[in-house]
Amino acid sequence: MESNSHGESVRAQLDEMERGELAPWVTLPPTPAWWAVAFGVWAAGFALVVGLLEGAAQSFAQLALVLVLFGAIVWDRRRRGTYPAGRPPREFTWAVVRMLLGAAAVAGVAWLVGEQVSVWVAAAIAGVGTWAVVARYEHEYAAIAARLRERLR
Amino acid sequence: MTQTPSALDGLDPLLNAPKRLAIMAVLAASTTTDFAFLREHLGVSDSDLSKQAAALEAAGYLTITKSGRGRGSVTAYKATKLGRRSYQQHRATLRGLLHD
Repeated sequence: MESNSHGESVRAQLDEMERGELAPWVTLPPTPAWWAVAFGVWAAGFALVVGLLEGAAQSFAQLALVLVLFGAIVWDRRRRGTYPAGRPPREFTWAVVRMLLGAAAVAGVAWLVGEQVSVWVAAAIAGVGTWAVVARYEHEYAAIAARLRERLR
Repeated sequence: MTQTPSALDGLDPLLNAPKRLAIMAVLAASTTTDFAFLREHLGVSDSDLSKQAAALEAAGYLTITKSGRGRGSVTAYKATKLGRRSYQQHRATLRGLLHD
C-alpha cells in the first residue's frame, strides 16, 4: 500500500516534469499568416543580394538580412514568452526533417536557376518555395503541438 | 562511521515542492522564460510565483532579469548550470526509484 502511494507520487512528479519540459515547445499563440510570407520575402531578398550585388555592398546587404533574421527571432521569443532549447521532442522530428529537406531543395533549385536562367526567376522561386515550406512547417507544428497539449492535459 | 549511499540521495529537497519543480522543468527546456508564461503554466498568483522563484534564485538555480519599465516591463527567468544539473539529477533519481 505504502509503496503504491510512493510510486504514484514519483510518477506524478515525473509527469509534472514532462509537462513542464514540453511547455516551451507546445504552448504558443497562433503564428500570424504573414510570418511565412515574410520568410519568403527574406529568401527572395537573399537570392537577389547574392545574385546581383558584389563586394562590400553584398556583405552589407547580407549583414542586414542576418540582422533582420535575429530581429525576427527576438520578436518571436517575446511573443511566445519563452523559447525552447535543446532537442525538440521526438514528435516534431519528422516535421523538422521535412522542413530542412524542403529548404535545401528550394535553395538548390533557386541556385541552379540563378546560374542557368535568371537571378530574378531564382529569387521568385526562393520566395515562393520558402513561403510554402515555412507555411507547411508552421501548419504541421501547430497540429503536433495541439495533440501534445491535449495528451498532457 | 560512514553512511551507505541511499537511492534517495539524488533527490533535491528544494525540488520536492511541486511548483518549484514545475518552474525548473520549464526553464530546463528553454533559453529564457517570462513571468507571464510561467504564471499561466503553473496557474498561480503573481506573489506565489515571485516567492517560489526567489527561493530558487537564492539557491543559485535561476537568474532573474528585468527589462523595460511600466506596463511594457518584462521579467525573465533563466536556469543556471547548477539549477540544470540539480534538476537533471533529481529527475534521474526519480526515474531510478520508479524502476526499482
